[in-house]
Amino acid sequence: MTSSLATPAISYRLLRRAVGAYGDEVLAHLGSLFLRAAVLARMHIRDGNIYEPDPSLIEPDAQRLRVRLRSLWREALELPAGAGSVFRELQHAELSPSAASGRLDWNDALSMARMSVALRPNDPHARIALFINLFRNSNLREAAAQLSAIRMPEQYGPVLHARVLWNRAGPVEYEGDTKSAVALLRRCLELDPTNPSYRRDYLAYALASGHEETALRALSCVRSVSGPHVITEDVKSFLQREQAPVTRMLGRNQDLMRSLNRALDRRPAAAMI
Amino acid sequence: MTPLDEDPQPPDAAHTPKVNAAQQWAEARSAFQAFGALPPDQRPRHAGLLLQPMAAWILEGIQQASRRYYLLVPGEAAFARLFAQLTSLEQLPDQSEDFLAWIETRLLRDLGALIQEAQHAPGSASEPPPALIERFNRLPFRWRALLYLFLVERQSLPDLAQQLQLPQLAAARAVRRAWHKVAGPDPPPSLPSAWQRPDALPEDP
Repeated sequence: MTSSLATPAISYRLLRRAVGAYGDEVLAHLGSLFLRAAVLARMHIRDGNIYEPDPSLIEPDAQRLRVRLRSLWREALELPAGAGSVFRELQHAELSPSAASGRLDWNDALSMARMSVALRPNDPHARIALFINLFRNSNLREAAAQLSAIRMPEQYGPVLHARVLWNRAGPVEYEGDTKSAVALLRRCLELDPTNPSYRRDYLAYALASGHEETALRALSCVRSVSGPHVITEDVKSFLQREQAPVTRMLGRNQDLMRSLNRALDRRPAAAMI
Repeated sequence: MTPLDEDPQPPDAAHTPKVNAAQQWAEARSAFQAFGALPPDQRPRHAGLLLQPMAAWILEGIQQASRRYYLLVPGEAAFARLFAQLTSLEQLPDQSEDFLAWIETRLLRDLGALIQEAQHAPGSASEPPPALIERFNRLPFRWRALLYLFLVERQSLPDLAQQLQLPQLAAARAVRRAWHKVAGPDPPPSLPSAWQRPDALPEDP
């Protein structure tokens, strides 16, 4: 038995590769911090829209996040040629003038999300965060492109797949294709039945479709996963979305709501598939 | 236990961390702490210096995991990626065994991605081609063990046959059959020069 590990000779080639991988790691980590900063900034915007990011992305300590982000930012700026210069180019291209000069605007959710996507182009969460910010800024074409860039969302597992589809449903509904939005939300619920947002929006889109059969089907589907009392909560929650286009549509469908209530009172079994 | 048993075995004594490796580990930890304490803008310049004390441990971890599961690993890609990942750790574990276990976990988790990475940026000539690594790792455990011992560890046919408790000819036939699964239909892949070549096996009579 030898007394110690032999010290290996590290070739220049291997050294370069390892330091390059370290640079990649720093940039990817920085991208994940930008993503968290973008999520926090978006959560503080009160524009009447509900924003429900993945809970795992919500940083509990904003101050700590800022300290870590600034520290990693300084580290990234000093990365060796290659990784570091890529970062410097991104910094100027993606962030607002104040950020490019080294002062980050913590309220600038869009810039933070852009930076996150630039540093983590294959991260679906980063794409979704940028999509939300673009969509809320009415930049629909670029927003849609972000979701389209998430190739084969099913490879990320059912929960993230459902989240991608859920976000796709927003623009689809916005363009008036409620039928497709209903289908997307139904798929979301199949993939992630425990998510209350999907239950609520599935009901919302189904009710807004104006078709009694669609609405009944949605009610029965939601009931099968959550029970009647949760349906009430879901609908209440949905009705609070005053700014959502679907709520305005529902306003024109009060007759449908009444007929649905009557249908359920009269033959509750009709709502069960 | 023979290498053909189904369950992975812990490494034998020759592969366990060495007696006074404890001091080397303490030095590696203190280099890591010094790196972590640097101002952020100075870290990139010192990353290469951290590599020196960590390299032996990373290589040891890769070798242990590879030997334990009889897996081929794209060495350069794995080494670089593991080094990068360790720089973002808050601290290194107290015991080197825990660090080696961390390497093993990361390696098993990321092996598919590392092989893909190696396809875009191949390692040195001392590494087998990524396509061969992929085919090799898809073999059942017992076949991998057989080929690994013959190719990588250069075990002689008599030794291998003794471990398998088979006549030498039967052992040679088993190795050849496993090799055909890995070699694929194309011309024989180029192998690292340190490996024992399958054409060293005796022909069937």
